[in-house]
Amino acid sequence: MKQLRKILLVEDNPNDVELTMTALSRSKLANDVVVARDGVEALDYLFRRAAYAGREPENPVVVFLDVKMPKMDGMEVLRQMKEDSELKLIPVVMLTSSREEVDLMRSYQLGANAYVVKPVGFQQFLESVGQLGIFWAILNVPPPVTQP
Amino acid sequence: MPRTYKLLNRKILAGITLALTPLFVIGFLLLRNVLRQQATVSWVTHTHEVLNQIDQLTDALSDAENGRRGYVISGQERYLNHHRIGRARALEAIRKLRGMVLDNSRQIHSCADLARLMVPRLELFDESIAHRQAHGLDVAAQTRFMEQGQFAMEPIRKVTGEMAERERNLLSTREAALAHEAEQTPRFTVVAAVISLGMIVWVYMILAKENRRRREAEIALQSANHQLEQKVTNRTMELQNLVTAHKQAEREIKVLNIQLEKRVHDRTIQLEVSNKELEAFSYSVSHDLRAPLRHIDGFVSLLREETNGQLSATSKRYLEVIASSARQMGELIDDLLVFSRMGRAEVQRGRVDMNALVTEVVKDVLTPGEERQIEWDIASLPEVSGDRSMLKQVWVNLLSNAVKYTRHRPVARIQVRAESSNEEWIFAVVDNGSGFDMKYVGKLFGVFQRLHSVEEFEGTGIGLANVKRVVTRHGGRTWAEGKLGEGASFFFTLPINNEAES
Repeated sequence: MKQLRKILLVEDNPNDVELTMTALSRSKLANDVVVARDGVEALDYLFRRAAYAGREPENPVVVFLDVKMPKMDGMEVLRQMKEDSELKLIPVVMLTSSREEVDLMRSYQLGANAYVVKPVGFQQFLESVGQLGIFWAILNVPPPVTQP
Repeated sequence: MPRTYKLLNRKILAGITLALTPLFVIGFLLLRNVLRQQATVSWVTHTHEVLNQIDQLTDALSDAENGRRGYVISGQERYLNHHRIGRARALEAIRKLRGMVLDNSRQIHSCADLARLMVPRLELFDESIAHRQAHGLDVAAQTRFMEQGQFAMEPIRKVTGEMAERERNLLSTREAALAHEAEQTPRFTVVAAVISLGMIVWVYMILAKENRRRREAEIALQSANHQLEQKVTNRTMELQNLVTAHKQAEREIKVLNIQLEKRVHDRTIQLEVSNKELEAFSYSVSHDLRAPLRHIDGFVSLLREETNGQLSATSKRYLEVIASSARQMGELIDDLLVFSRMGRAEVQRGRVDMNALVTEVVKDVLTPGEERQIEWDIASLPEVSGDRSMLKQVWVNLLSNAVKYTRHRPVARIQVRAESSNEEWIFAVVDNGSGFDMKYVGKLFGVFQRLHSVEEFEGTGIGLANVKRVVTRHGGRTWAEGKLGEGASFFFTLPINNEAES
């Protein structure tokens, strides 16, 4: 049986991290969630660099990517991911507060797979995240695992 | 002017003619005088010739007589020749005399008489000579002849005397006439000269007057010319000044234009910067303001789950208030962001089919799950020029309002129609909902202005403000009419030929 691949959550705000994790667990996803606190960490994980040099070979099944983050923002992470032949296969869902057209446009232009706006209302938030999780982690067929 | 000119010409002509006439007259008279004098001279000569001729005749007769006598006495041939010569001369003389006196009838008569009278005398001569030749010297016969001869000579002498006298009279008459004329001539001449002079003076005066007039006219003309030139010079200077001033103004305008353009440029840059700042602001608001709200709501929910059962009703209520406040703030932020975007975004003009748009919006605006009985009455709407997404926002706001505020009616009736005036389309959304008090009509389109509480009807009060903003940016107007409990009508206009702001 194939090991369940991880979900990479890239989010700088700890509160948002907590809420999202709660929502994900409520939706009864079995996948492990890796949390990166900013863009640099996210790329380190994805590129198996620095602290994550020895991470498991399989890439995450989906990346939930916040846009506004310190140091390196979500767009930059997305861009670098899509430039890498291996990483660009990983589905990316922009999960962010902003409905600004500029963010939308840029995200899709860079090749994001989905764009979800985090609602203020928690119930809605639970629902959205739950649906996301179920879709990307279970329903969606991820790209095949590439051997390192 | 031409008339006086002709008159003047005639006058001058008349004057000159009159001036010359006496001269001609004088000339004529003088000429006549000279001719007459010449005539008289020839008459004098003539008279002398006549007299001479008469004398010659008398002499010739005398010579003839003497010759005869001499011959008679001496019988010498010599004297006979004398006589013959004399006789011939006498005949010659009378012939000539006849030719000379042809001008005067009396003289002609006298001459004829004379010729007639001479005949017997000559006959007597011949008789005497013939007798002498025949008979020699016969004193008695000859004395008889001589007496007869004397006798014959008397009338001859008388006639010649008359003729001479007459001739002399004629001469003196002519001479007197000439003298008389000679007397008259100077008088005539003087008079004529005076008249002529008078005419000349008159003509001169006319000319002088004319000259004076001309002079005056010339002076007046010169003066007028001078004035005119003066005026022209002045006018030219004025014009030059004007042109200079004009050019100056042009230059100033150019400078001002450049300055203006620069200012516009600067202002545009300022506005662009300002816009960018607003964008950044919106962006920031989007991300940074929403997150804490989300946290509030999220953790309040989690708290409620954590403390489920442990909290009193009041506590639960307090938590609910906190949560709903956070949600409300989220809505406000969303609405503000939309409102701001409506103001900042560029109006993308295109042809917008309002009917299609309204149909689309009607589908969207119905809350899913909500059972409603709504009668839609959508008239034929025109195609307009405008920004489709912005106009969609307008319809969304107006129609969702209509749907919302007719919630309490068993059957909601919502009417959408359009009509045109000269230069604009007037759209109307009429509902039979709860209406509003016209007292507050001024507040309707204000930002976050509401006429109902959130419990009655949800909403932040930004919808109509958005509508107004979009419509204004398209160059139109908004207004509303309503009656409490009976429904409301919302109107907006869009200009037909769209040269509203771009």
